[in-house]
Amino acid sequence: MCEFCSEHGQDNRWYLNPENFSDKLLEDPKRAKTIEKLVGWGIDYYVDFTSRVTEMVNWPVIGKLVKKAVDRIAPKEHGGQVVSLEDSLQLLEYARDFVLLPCACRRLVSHKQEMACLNFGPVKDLMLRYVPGEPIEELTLDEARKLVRDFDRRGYFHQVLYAKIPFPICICNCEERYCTSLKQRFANGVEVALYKGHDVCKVDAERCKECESPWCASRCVFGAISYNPERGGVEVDASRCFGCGLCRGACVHDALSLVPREMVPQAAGKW
Amino acid sequence: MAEYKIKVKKSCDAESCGFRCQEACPRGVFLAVPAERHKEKQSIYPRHRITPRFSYFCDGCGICIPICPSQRIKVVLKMTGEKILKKPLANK
Ligand code: SF4
Ligand code: SF4
Ligand code: SF4
Ligand code: SF4
Repeated sequence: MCEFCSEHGQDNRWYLNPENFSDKLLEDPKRAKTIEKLVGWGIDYYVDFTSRVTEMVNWPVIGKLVKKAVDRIAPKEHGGQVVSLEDSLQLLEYARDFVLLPCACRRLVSHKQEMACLNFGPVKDLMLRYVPGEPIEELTLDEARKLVRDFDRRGYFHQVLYAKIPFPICICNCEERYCTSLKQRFANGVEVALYKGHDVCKVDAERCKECESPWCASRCVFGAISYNPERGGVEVDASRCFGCGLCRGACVHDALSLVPREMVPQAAGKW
Repeated sequence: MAEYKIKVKKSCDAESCGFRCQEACPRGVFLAVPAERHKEKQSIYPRHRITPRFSYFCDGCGICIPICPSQRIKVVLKMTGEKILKKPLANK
């Protein structure tokens, strides 16, 4: 369990604790302000600001101080954690008012319009109030579930985003090229921008049949899968695995599965 | 990574150009940022300029250089200071 779970999970993963979806949490004025800041046209400024600040982590002298400040402040504002398909589907059970919105990262990084941002809770009302002209598609729970499955098949990894921990507001479905959270984590070493997920991938060596071109490896945006010529199959570097589970969908031999992070020594406690 | 240093001139007006470098860059290096500091003005007349915020991911392919209609993008190999002029043949 990550630090968010120990504080907000009640013996479960924080985003699977139904209490964390309660509207009561919106009574916190700081949370309400964060959500308002994120919704609508404010997102352009938000991404610009946060990516500029996390870049400062690399600066000499003040870099370490900035990193400490970011680690402390981000959970009080906005951040995300990778989630598997199963966890995504389960957390949707606790949410309400599903709306599909255009992905801000794809728009800001590649000028691409794609409805891939699955929001819930208070977002719908705020969008209609602040940015009524923005494309918005209302969804039922069943439609939301189907959509997340489709995204998974397309190779989009899922991330649960919070507005001030532990209040989940969105499942984002993104790719390496566009995801600004992933970029901030890898370019600037800011883990809190995109926490690793609660699971890690495991290979069943008996079943791994050494495909000519291992599709599982090309699916992994985190570079955790490599071919081991001695064993004649692929290996997962658990310390690099984010637990997205996408690789599983590529394996016709059913050789890959997810296990809890705590069970794998190289990955345990590393978020 | 972080092998390349990229500069984009501030005079970039992405709406007029059509965000060409962003659409072309396979590594998602360029971020569109609001050109107007005041949110109210920006919401009436949205303008963006491009900044190479994620240059860490650049692999020096050079695709973006000839794409910019007014030569606003410069890509330099950090180690040697060598300027990447255009998409190299090997990557075509
Ligand atoms: S796709 Fe499956 S069988 Fe093929 S290399 Fe990957 S794990 Fe092994
Ligand atoms: S190994 Fe599989 S589960 Fe782990 S990060 Fe890569 S694709 Fe995701
Ligand atoms: S050189 Fe290639 S990877 Fe680098 S910014 Fe230009 S298009 Fe992107
Ligand atoms: S191609 Fe040049 S003018 Fe067009 S958005 Fe990019 S930097 Fe700006």
